[in-house]
Amino acid sequence: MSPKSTVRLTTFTAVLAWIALTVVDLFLGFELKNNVNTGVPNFLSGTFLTVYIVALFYFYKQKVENADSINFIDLLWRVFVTGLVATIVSVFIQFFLSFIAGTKLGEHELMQSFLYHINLGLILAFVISTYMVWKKLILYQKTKSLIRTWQVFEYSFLVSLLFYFLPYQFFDIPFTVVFAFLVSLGLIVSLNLKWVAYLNFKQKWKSILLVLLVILYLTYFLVYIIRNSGNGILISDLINHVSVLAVFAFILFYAIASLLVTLFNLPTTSVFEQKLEEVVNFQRLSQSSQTGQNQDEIFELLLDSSMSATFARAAWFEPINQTETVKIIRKNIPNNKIQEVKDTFNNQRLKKTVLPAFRNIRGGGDSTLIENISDSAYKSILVYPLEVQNEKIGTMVLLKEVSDGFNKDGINIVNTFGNQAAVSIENYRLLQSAIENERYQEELNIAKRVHESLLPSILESNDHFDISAFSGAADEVGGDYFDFHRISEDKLVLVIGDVSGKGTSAAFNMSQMKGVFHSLAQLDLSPAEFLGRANDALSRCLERTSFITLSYYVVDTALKSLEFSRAGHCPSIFYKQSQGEVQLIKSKGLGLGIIRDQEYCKYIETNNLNYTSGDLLVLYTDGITEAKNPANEEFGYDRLQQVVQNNVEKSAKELQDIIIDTLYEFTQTKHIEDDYTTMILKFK
Amino acid sequence: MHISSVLEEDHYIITINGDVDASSSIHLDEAMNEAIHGGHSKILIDCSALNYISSAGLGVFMSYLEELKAKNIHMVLFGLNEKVENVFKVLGLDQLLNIQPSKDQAKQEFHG
Amino acid sequence: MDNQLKVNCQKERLRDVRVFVEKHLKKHGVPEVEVGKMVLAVDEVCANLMIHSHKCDPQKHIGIKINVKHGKEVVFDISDYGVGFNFCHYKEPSIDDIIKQKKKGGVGLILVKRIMDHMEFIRKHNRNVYRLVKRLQAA
Repeated sequence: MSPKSTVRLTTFTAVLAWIALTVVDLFLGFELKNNVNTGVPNFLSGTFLTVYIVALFYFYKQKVENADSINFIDLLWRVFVTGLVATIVSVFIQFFLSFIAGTKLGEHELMQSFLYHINLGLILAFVISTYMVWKKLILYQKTKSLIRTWQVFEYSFLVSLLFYFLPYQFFDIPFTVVFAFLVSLGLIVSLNLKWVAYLNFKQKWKSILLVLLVILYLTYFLVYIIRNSGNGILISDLINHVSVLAVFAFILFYAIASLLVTLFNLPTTSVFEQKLEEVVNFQRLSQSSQTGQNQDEIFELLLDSSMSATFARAAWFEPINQTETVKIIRKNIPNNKIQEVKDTFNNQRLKKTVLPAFRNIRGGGDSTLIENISDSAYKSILVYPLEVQNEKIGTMVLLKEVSDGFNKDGINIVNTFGNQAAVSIENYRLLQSAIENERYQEELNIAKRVHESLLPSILESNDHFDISAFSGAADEVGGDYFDFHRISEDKLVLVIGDVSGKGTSAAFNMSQMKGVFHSLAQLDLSPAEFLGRANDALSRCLERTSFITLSYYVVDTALKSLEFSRAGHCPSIFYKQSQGEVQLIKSKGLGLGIIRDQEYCKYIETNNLNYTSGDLLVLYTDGITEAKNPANEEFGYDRLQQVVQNNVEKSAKELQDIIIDTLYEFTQTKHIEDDYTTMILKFK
Repeated sequence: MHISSVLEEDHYIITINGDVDASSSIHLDEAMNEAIHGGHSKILIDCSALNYISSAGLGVFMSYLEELKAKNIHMVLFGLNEKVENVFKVLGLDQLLNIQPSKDQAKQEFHG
Repeated sequence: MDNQLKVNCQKERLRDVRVFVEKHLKKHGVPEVEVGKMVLAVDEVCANLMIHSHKCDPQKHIGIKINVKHGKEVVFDISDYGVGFNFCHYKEPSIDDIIKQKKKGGVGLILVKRIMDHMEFIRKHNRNVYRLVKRLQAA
């Protein structure tokens, strides 16, 4: 059954049961008074009373147990209000009775009985609802045994309802036994008053007041019940109802117990509150890095927490590496006072020890200090060095106006806070570096894509030669560049180069190089002229520290000639079939961007040579020759030449694959540290 | 270098002494010119004292090949040392020019 | 420095060039037949430079440097200053054409190309180097 329908059903049942009870009792009272028989059986009264109590029981059980708030004051307030309503109605009835006293209506037994039943209904409602609230309070921080005890108590109570149908009366022996049994169970469960401890000072006062009023109501109701007891005409006499009486005793007792415990707990509340705040502060410190607070906020939190934990009057935090954004954080103390306290403290230390704490501030390995100082405003001081991963990052100073103001507990709690702050700062730094790293990775990915997009994807072989190229990018993008441009039917320009720097700047420089290449290559310049002009153009846009090494080849298939210049790039390998041997074709030249004026041209050499069918030209970048094996040896020119020499009969693509495979075999990894590129031309 | 020309019977013999290089080929050219325009139909080039010949010298011979053919003049070289003959062979001129080991064998060429 | 020679651009100096080359190569034990060929090639290149590049101007000079590398190959670096002549861009004419056109020159570079194993034209600023490489057969 849903809570809502339970409430509706129990309300309905309770109202009906109360009306039925009242009607039955009125009839029975009338019978008793006038000594007539209306044929209404006596047991109906007890039955309806029991149904009414059970309905109330489940109604409040539902209401209280499903209450959203577990706030104790709210719960007490609820009891108080219920009691207040019941009391007001009761008082009003008394007032009404005294008002009509003396009239015929006032003297009428049935009228009195009716009003009594209204009171009875309200008292029972109040008692049952209080019972449920007490239950909630008692079962706060429950244990298994407590639950079991409570269940025994509650079931005993429900079972005892049947006792009402037995012909025993108040102070009959069986009545007393059952009563004593229920009350003692009630006493046992009443010993659970843990909730009181969770009230703060103000709340405790509130609860004392509320409980006091509840006790007042209960007393009033008890008196009312006793006063109306023995009046046979009213039929339902609660004094003879052992369950109601026992519950009454239980809630009264628990109210008194709560009152007393709360009262006695008042003086220790501040200590408890303090501990609680420390825990909360600790939690805030430990979570500060997750909530993305910066270091300053963590320092501030540490300062606030430490101050409130030690009851310090003033405090400051001085970071070691102060910058525009990282400054001294002050609490209740002006800047000039800080200097004053520092001087006083250092002078004092100087007298006692050789190393003053503040002078030794960068030394590391300091520990927390507490001392008395003879300052005009402050009499004791606590100095705490904040360390992150054994590196001191700042000093926290706490001040009090009384001497011997800091104790061991204070140091402990400050140390705890400090450690937590250190962890948070470390986390913060790790998080920052992780973010930085991610940003950097993203940048690298862009650079890689740019790099790839700048390299030609298709190389055209033709009747005169067979061409193949391969470029492998390092994890960190380098700046290898190769490209080609067909000037005319017979003329082709090849370029291979290495842009200094890595990552985005390399990719950027490379795109500049590509632009320069494609605009100048069309002009059909000699390699020396090309390099001169490229140097001129790049000098204007390359960063001061950047330069580009390059080899520039003009292949003339009509003349069967190769014309080339080298701008500081590694010498290419040329295989002349007629000679049967590979050679490094060296020529002198400086990297682009090293000398940024016309002087540059003096350093450029242009070489010309003729090729014949079967000759090979192998261009490459230093990523290949400088790749290292696990023994830290470089692949080197000799190995590369040897690989070419051994495979001169292979096609350009085959030779390229062999070179790369040999390189991987040598380095024992495919992750070469630098970009590595090779471009191979085999003449037909 | 020194060049001398003599007429033995109807054989016009040019004897080359020393080196024929870019600086001296002009003299060979003059001698050739004289021989061809002197109406001789049998020209013998005595190379037994020819120490060296460069492309300039070869060029002189080559430049007259067409004319010799047109005028039906026979020209035979003889007495080339190995070094000099090699130079002719490099360009394949040994197939275009009539080269004989000795003067007698060279004269035989006109009577064959 | 006995592997270098500097001559001014007079055809008469070609003889000195030949003597220098021959002497140097013989000193290094290069076979007679090979010496003859190489002397010819160097002579041809020098003659070309004197006549075509420098118009036989005695004020201009040509340098010749010989490197005999471990008895395996001989490298001649012939150098001059000026416009230079890129012999790699020289297109070899056919002998028949030369004969038909009755030209007296034009076969020099063919000779060089056929004699030498490798030719390179290197230009740096205003200086030209005509590099001729001849590999020696293992004796």
